[in-house]
Order: sequence, then structure tokens, then C-alpha cells
Amino acid sequence: MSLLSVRDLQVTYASRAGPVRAVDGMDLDVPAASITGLVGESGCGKSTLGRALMGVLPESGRITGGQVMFEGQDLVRLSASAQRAMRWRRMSFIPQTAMNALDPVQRLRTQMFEVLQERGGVSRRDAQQRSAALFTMVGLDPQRLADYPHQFSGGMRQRASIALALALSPSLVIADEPVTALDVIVQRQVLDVLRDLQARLNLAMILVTHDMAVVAYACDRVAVMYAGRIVESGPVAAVLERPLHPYTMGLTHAFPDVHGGEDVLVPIEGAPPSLLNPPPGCRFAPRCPFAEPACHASSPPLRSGASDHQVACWRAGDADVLRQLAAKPATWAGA
Amino acid sequence: MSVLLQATGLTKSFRMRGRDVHAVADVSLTVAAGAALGIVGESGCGKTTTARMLLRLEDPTAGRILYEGADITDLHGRALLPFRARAQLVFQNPFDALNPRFSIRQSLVEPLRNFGIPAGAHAAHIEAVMQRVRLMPAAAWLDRRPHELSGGQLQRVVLARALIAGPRLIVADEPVSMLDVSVRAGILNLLREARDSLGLAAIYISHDLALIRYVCERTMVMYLGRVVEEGPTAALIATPAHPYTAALVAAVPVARVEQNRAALPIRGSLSDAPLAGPGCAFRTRCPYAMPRCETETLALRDVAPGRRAACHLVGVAS
Amino acid sequence: MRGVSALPFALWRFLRCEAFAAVGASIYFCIAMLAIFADRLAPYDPRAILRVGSRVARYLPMSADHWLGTTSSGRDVLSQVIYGTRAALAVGLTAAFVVVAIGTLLGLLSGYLGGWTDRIVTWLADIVLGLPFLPFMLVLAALTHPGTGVVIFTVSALLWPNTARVIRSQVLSLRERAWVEAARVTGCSTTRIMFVHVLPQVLPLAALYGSVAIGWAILAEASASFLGFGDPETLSWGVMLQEAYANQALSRGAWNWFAPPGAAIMSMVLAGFLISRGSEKLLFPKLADQ
Repeated sequence: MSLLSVRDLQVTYASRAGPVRAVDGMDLDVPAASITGLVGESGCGKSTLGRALMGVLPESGRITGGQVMFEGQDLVRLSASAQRAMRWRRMSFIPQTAMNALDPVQRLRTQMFEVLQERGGVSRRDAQQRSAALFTMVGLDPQRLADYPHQFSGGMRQRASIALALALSPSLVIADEPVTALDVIVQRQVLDVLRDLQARLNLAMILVTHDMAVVAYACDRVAVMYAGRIVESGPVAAVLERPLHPYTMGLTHAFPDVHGGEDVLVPIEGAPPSLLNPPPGCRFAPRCPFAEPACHASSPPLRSGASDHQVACWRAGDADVLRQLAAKPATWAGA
Repeated sequence: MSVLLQATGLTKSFRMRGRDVHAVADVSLTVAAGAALGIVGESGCGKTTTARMLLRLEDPTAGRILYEGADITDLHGRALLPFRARAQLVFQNPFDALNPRFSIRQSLVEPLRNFGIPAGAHAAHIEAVMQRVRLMPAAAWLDRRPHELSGGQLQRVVLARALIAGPRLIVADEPVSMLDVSVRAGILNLLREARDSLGLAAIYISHDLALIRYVCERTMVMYLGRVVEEGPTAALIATPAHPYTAALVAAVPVARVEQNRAALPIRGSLSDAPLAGPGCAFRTRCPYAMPRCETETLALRDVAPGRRAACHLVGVAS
Repeated sequence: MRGVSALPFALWRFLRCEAFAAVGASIYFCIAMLAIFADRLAPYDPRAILRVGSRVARYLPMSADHWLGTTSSGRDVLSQVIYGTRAALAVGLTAAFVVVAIGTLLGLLSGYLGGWTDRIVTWLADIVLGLPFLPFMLVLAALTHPGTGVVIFTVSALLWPNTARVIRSQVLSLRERAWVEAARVTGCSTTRIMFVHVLPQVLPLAALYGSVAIGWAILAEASASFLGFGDPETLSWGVMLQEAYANQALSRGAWNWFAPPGAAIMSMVLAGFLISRGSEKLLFPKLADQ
């Protein structure tokens, strides 16, 4: 049973040129007590999804359809005040740059107390204890609660914003590119903190990232997004070893590995489509070397394959053959 | 192979609270014609400042830079023009690397004009370089302005501008970190192809060891302004000699099912590091620090043929 | 070529979204039209002494023949106001051009070159900003021969620091952009970087300061003329006001004589202000977001 289940979600931004469907018919299931990686390139809608779930879409953005079931309630139909009451207590957020979560002119203690007392209704004495415990939990010295954010390094700020997100013991935490701005060593340390906390607190977490390697390191499940839709999802091991969607196959050959092994990287030619006027069929079809006429005509639904592994591709039946072809540079060069 | 670029004792320091702080301290390196060197390290390690000094965009506080044997450290203005024509830069942020008011053509003509290539030959140069970076047909792109192009396309133009006047050396500072994941490989492959077919030397600056491995045979690891280790990239990753290199290699995530989740061999954070004074700058974070690490500043020394590291443990630990 | 042909469209889009700027620009447009076609639009020769029968047509009230009445010497007020646009524009445009040219040049040099150039320019600007406007102009007019030359010189000499300061800070931030560094790497000389790469980026800002300077220059000319340091031969709004004042138009209640030139001056200054207000959003988009 999923903790969060998104069905046919649509998020639309108003723009001068017309409505932009940043998320367009998205299905996603996030099981309890696990980390789900949401991976995709910039503009694919992965950050928009996180913001829509948290109710912090920018002015021009609206949820224009679909359903978001979380702990038995449909968030889309919930009243604004009920949503506010639930947010941060049941579901919280870690942004890419911790400076967006932290107030630069307030001591961390003040910010922690504000969340605990005002949102959580915790007494002042308990808030004191809880703040110290939270700081210890994320690997920060509780003494430093007296500091201002600018006295922290980037990694420490990200730890502090994790502590803030966990303050009210939510069941779901959405982390939007939490390690993208960090150096590799700090990135690894922050990912370790997230993994450790997830296991200890039995949290569910959505980790939004563009980096498949971060997903491989930190996540249990992965959902691959392309142009506003999920194209493939499943357990990390299954998706990495037997990708079913040509886009995922392409991605696995598009990165160098620190320990070598590849002779040559295989780029995915072309660029993602404009969401202002997306192609009618499968959105990856214009870049896909395996596209057939059917792919350009209609959009494939996300269907379950073997062992909890879903894919939205008309040619999913040929995945084993396509996977071998996808490893060859010539395949992609001709698309 | 002949030496193309050589730097000795490059240092950049600034005064902070009455003390000299080194952004870059005593960096020496050699790039042979046609070779590729990677400089890897975390933000603030001095890798970008080093690259800027090598390109004579910033004056070093101390040290010399030799291009094809000639000292270019004190050249300025017009005297630097022949060097500029030979050493080009690929920028990190393609969205900011082209004059927003210039068409692609104007941006490409700029180096041709400045480096004295006759106007009659411009069109042929532009056509050839656009073909090299796969922006075809060239006519479809040349009259556009930067805001009409995607990040990957812009980076191709930036690369074209760097290649158009026939350089011998390309410095690329995080050339793909701002690009979408699906187009990164395309740019890296173009850089590799350009090197191979034109015999260019290259210096890649990155925090990403995996990227460095893909494009560079030799790598230098920097920590707080100093080179802590250098050697052939594959060997340096397989058997790091310096504890910092070991931590850096272990921290790089890999997109594979099997993962090494062992704790990193590193303590504390970058902010605990000593800013000045003698001793190894890494000692506060090093799991193997010894008393002598606090007093002796160690120079790079040979670990194996072609490999050097600045650590007392060299030859002891593995 | 694309840039040139795209400019009118960009301007039109900008004016359509920015009501302030659109009003300002239309005021300038009307005044320019009046100046160009003054001889056709003005019902009378502005210097002609009109007569009613044998009497000089002095102090006529507003009527169908004289929409704004006449002056004490029997001249048509409307025609004078219309012809006054020529003097106003001549002074305003010349002064604005000089202000912008000096301010932009010095701002560009000090911002891009830094070092000694920057210190000298900043020091000069500080001194000039300390000079009081009117006394400076009056002393200058007293020492030389009064006239529009003094006005233009004063406005140019005293107003450039505002432009220079803004241009300097803009150049300081542009200097850090990667494409400016790219210009260095691709062999551009410092002069070429400043004038070919950086200057076009700051021109819109310079033009904005120019539009404010037009208003200032007209105000200065009016003040000088009003105080009697103008060129009495020039037909300007300032001279009109001075004449009205000297002939006690105020106490006679002949507001149809002094109000129109006053309103004309005000509308010019206002136009400059409106344009600058409207362009703020365009030039400093971050400001508009807040």
C-alpha cells in the first residue's frame, strides 16, 4: 500500500505564450518507509511535482487535474486550511539551496522553535530538547543552534534544513535536489545522513535529482521523468540493470563512470520537447532511435511489467533487444 | 612530445586579517602538445584560479608560465595576442559565455578578426568550425542570438568560438556541469574528437572525477590551493596515494547496482582546515595524521613512475 | 541587421506594457511635433505685435481668435508657447546629449578600467555633485555673456556625475560576466571590449538618464531666463515667464499668460520622470519582482 499515490496529475503554468503543462498526466506511487528517486533533466517537471505536493507552486502555477492521495486524503480536493495544517506536520520539504529554507537574519534556534511551537504546538521546554536532539540526529553540534545560517558551511546548512524538515516527525519528506549544490564529499555525507534517518525514522522520502548515480547510491525505488510524465519506474536495481524505456537506456550510457569501463559515451541527440506544444504521441519519440509510427500517433500509458517495474513505451515488449542496440553509438547517431 | 605549456611555482595570495592567505600555492605543471591534464578538487581548492592564471586572465603573485619555451608571465595587452590565439577557454556557463547582443556569426568572427585572419577567409573558417561542432547547416544558426539556443547548442557555439582560430590548447572549466544530463555526453565527445583530430592539448577543470577520467590521461588533485597528488588518471583512481584523493574517489557516486557505502576516510569539514602556517593542510581531516604533519610542509614526491603525492605516508599506506 | 529592424518592435512592446513610459514618450512626441511644425501650427508670428484696430492688442483674454490670449506687448501667447518648444528642445536635447556622452564615457572608463582612472573619476564626480546648481550657473552667466550656451554648459558640467555613477556600477557588474572574459580570451583589446561589447549594454540606461537630463536642462534654462540671465532674443518658456513676471501678470490675474509656459515646462520635466519610472522595470527587472 502506497503512502502517496499520484494519479493523472496535471500542473499548468500560465505563460505569455500560453499554458505550459509542466506535469501532464503523471502517475506515481511512493511506498512508506523507502526512498524514491525522481530523476529527469531540467524542465521535465520533477521540481514542479515536489512544489505541487507541498502547495508551494509559484503564482502562475495551478494543479489543473488529477488526484494526490496521501494518508487517505486527496490533497487536490482538501481545503486550503486543511492543507496548511497537514504540511510540515505530515509532509515536509528540503530545498536545493538550504538558504531558501533558512532565514538569514534569525538564529537557527529561533527558526527551529518557530516550527516546533507554532506549527507543532510543542511547549517551549520540549522545543529546546527536541531542537538539540534533531541537531544531534543530523550530525550537528547542538551548541550551534545559537548560530546564524551564514556561520555554517554549505553541508552544515543542508543538515540544518534536514533537521528543520524532520522537526514535526512527518511521514513523507520531499527533497528537491538536496545535494546538487554540494561538493562530492559533502554530497556523500549528506546522502548518508538522509539514508540513515530514513531507516531510523521509517520515513518515506522523495529525492528529486538529475543524477542517476545519486539515485543508485541513495534510493530504493526510482521514477524516471521525461517532459512532464513518468516513463519508467521500479526498484533501483531493476531499472539500472534492465531498463525498459529507451530514454532510461540512453541515460545509462550517457555518463562516464569513475572506475571506467566505457569506451565512448553515447549522447541522446536532440533536446526535450517544448511543453507549450508537446508532440502528440510519446514525448520521447522525436529523439528515440526505436520510434515506430505508432509512437508518434499516440501516447503509451504507464503499464506494469514484471516484478513491480513499470514502463510507458509501445515497444516495451522488445526491451531486451532494444537494450543491446542502445549500447551502440551508431544507434543514437542515426535518430 | 614537446612541452606546450609549463608553469612553475604558481602562487596567488591575498591578504586577510593581516595574514597572507594562498588561494593557490606553489603549483607546477607541464602540458605536452596534444596531451590532456585534469585538475580536480572541491570548490575553493584553487583549480579555477590556477586555470585563469595559466590563461593569463589573472596575474600570479609568484611563479612563471612558459608557452612553447617563452616566458609569458609578464606580457600584457597586444604582446599577449599571439598566446591568446593559441590558448582558448570553454566556459562553465554557456548561458553567459556569449555576448547576448551578438549573433552567433558575430561571436565567431570576433576571434578571427582579433587574431588577424583576413576577412576573405572568415566564411570558410566559420563553415568548417560549425561542421566540427555539428551545428548544421551553419546558415540556420549563424544569424540567431544566444537566447534562441538551448544550453547544449550554446556550449557548441562556445566550443566553436574556442576552436575557430586554430588554438593549440583548450582550457575547459566544468564544461558540462550546467547542461542537461542527456546532452552532456555530446559535448564531452565533441571535446574529445576536437582533441584527437586537431592534436590539441587540453586542461579540464572539474569537481567530477568521472568526467576527468573520461577526457584526461593525467590528473592533478588539488586541496586548499596545493597539489596533493598527480599521475595517470586511471592509476590515481585505482590506487590513490594521498588520503584526500582516496576520500574523493570513494565519494563519487556511481550509477550501478553494487555500491560501496563504507564510511568515507575523512573527518570534519573543509571549514576546519588551517588557512595558513606550516604543515599539511589536510591534517585536520586526515584519518592518518601524525605529529610531523603539523610541522613539515611536504612537497610532491615520487610514488611510482609518473606518479607523485605530497604525503608522509607515501609508500607506506595503500 | 536583425537587431536594427527588431528595435521598433521592442520599443512598441515596451511602451504597450509600461503605461508610465508610454505617457512620457507621447508627451515628448507631441512636443517634438510642435517644434518641427511650429511655423504651420502657430496661428500668429510669435514676435508680431498685434493690433485691434489701431490699438495694441495687449492683455486680451482667451478667445476664439487668441486661444490663450495675448501678452502685455500684444503678442499671441499660444504662438509663443508653440515656438518655445524649439528653444526647449534645442537646449534640452543638446544638454542631454552632452550629459549622457560625458557621463557614459567616464562611467565606462572608471567602471571597466578601475584603478587610478576610477579614483580620479569618482573624485571629480564627488566634487561636482557638491556644487550648487543655480549659483554656479548665475556666476558663470555673470562672468561670461548670458545665453543658452551657459545653460547647456552648466547642465552638462553638473549633471554628468549621476549618469556616470549609474553607468559605472552597471559596468562593474558587466565586467564580471563570462562573455566579457570571453572577449579578452578571444583577443579583444581593452578599447574594443569597452566600446563594442560593454557600451551597447549600458546605452539603454544612458538613454534613460538622458531623458531625465532633458527635463533638467529645460528647467535650468527657464530658471536662468526667469532670473534675467537668459538670452532675451530667444523665444523660450523661461523668457515668457520672466516677461510675464516683469509686467506683473500675476497681480493682474493674467494667468492665461504665465500658466501655459509653466505647464509646458512641467509637462516636459514630467515626461522625463515618467519615462524613467516606466523603464525601471525594464532595466531592473529584479526591482519589479519585489
